Amino acid sequence: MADFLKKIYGVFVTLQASTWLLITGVAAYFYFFAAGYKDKENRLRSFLYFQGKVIQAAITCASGFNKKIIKYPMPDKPSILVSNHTSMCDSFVFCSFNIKNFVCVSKGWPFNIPLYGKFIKYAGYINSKNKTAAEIIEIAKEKLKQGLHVVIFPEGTRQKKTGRFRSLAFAAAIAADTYVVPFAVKGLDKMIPAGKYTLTPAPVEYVQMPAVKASDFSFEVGHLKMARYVKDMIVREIERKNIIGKA
Amino acid sequence: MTRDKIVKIVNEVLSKEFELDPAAMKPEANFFKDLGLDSLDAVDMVIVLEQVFKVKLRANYEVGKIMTLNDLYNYIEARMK
Repeated sequence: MADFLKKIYGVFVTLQASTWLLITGVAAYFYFFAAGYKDKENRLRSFLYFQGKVIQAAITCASGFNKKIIKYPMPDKPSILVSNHTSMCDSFVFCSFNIKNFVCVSKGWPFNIPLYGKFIKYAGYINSKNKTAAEIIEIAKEKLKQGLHVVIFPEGTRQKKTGRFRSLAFAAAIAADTYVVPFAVKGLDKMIPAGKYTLTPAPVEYVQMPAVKASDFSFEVGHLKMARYVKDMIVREIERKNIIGKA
Repeated sequence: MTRDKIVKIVNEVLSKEFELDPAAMKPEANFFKDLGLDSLDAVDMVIVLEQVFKVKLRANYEVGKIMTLNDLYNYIEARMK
């Protein structure tokens, strides 16, 4: 009975959030259609941040208000933000840390999602499809220069268990001489398992770890070492018996 | 160095540095399609193997034709002679 009620609660929260996202998404679509997308990057990022906040509010409700956020101070310059990738909502986790000015590196498909795809495209998100690593690094450097954080999921696609960290994010950080800020996301894999579109009540925890200076790894293939170093940090954090009581 | 030794070292280095699954590391495995490496990994792989084998691998244009593990074993074996 308790499981059934939890399921109903999860569906209720999902429906409320989806309705709100749809209404505001359509309204924004008409606004940007009328006003034009050109030179609206900041406004679009603000809108996506707002949508992210709504999604995080829904996650807080679905967690039964059992959502913990642990954070260290952010570096004083635009950085590469990396995280484990277990759910489709991971790119909105950064909104919980009040990080507004960021763009994500994504493979082609999110750019094809109705409404959202257009928003992220014009918000300056980086489509990695058909681009070489060198090209993506150059674009990421440009975004960092513009004062934006760049979010990269080093595993590439969603993984149940933390997978191989590709070194592109770390090569970009070294090339731009900035920081990598690791994030560990726990519990979203239980709340939104792959293939499900409704929220399942479960506790969640987001941890922003201390920034790692890329210049400490600026030697030949240092980005490979940095990828392993940061992955170890994230895996240790995920495996740590945490405050929501899950190992 | 014998071919067996080259195969052993290459497999050990690649599974450690690129977290490749040893079970997937068959001679016919394609780096991109089967092992999931990308263009940056390919460059890194050459640099890492140069450091291990103490031989210049980038100097030869044929390095760009390496697609499978077997191609890589053959290439290193030829460069070591």
